[in-house]
Amino acid sequence: MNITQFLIILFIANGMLGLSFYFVMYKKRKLFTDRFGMVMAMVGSGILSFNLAMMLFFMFPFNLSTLAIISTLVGGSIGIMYGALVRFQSLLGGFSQGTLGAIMGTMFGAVVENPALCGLPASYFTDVEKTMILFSLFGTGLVMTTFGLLFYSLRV
Amino acid sequence: MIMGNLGFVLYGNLVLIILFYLYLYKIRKLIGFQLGMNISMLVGGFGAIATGVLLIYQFPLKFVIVTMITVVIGMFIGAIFGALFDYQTLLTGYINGLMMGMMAPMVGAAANNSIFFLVFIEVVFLISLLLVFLSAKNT
Repeated sequence: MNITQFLIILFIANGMLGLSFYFVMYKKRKLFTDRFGMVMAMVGSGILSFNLAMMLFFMFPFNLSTLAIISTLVGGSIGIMYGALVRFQSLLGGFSQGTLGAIMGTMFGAVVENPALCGLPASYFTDVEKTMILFSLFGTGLVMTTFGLLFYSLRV
Repeated sequence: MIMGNLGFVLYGNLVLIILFYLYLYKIRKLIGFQLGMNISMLVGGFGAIATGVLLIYQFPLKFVIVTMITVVIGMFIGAIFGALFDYQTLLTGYINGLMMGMMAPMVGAAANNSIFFLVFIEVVFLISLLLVFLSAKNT
């Protein structure tokens, strides 16, 4: 299995995780207070758009500005989708965190793929692919931890 | 002089954060959730930035593992300061510590070992702790 197939499978898994999170929250949306809706939209859209933008940068070989525009659109729509569950106050919070996470994810992907941007030593160029796999697995773990905390908060 | 003793600076930061946690633990009943949210965001974010810059200055060849450790430390600091008040402040501190911890080793690597930048980050960290202390005292 080469690296592109691995990244595509992981990307689809993250998208399915986000969609299932959305459907579970859609069933329970009558239970939310305003404040919990805002915190939920900010936390979920921030981490999910960060991970998706980082993986988009690893997958496609376009230049940076095209990818930044695409991933900002994706992150903003994720934030609006999660925020529209409750009220318009939470929509603003979700939109801001989603675009912020997407832009930061693009920057992080650029630094991992080309370490000379940050003045890192030349020894990183030999194992860029290993670093990419490691960071995408780590980001997926972070997404799972965050969604687990959010599911648990329905019970508290 | 400061470049040889980065470990002591990190240790000092951690001791300051622990003392501050003990102080806030005593007066946590007096603080509302609005101030609690801001406290957890500020302390988690700046603690993660200071830790990340110090660690990447000390180990410039290990970018991957330093990023992971900094993310975990930022998440943990934000979460324990948020857990003093409420479950939703825990979530806010957690996500802010995570985002700042991702960024901090990149900033530190781009600064090319300049001492001036390190002193600046430390001063910002101390000022933020002082501001949080004043606002928690006068609440």
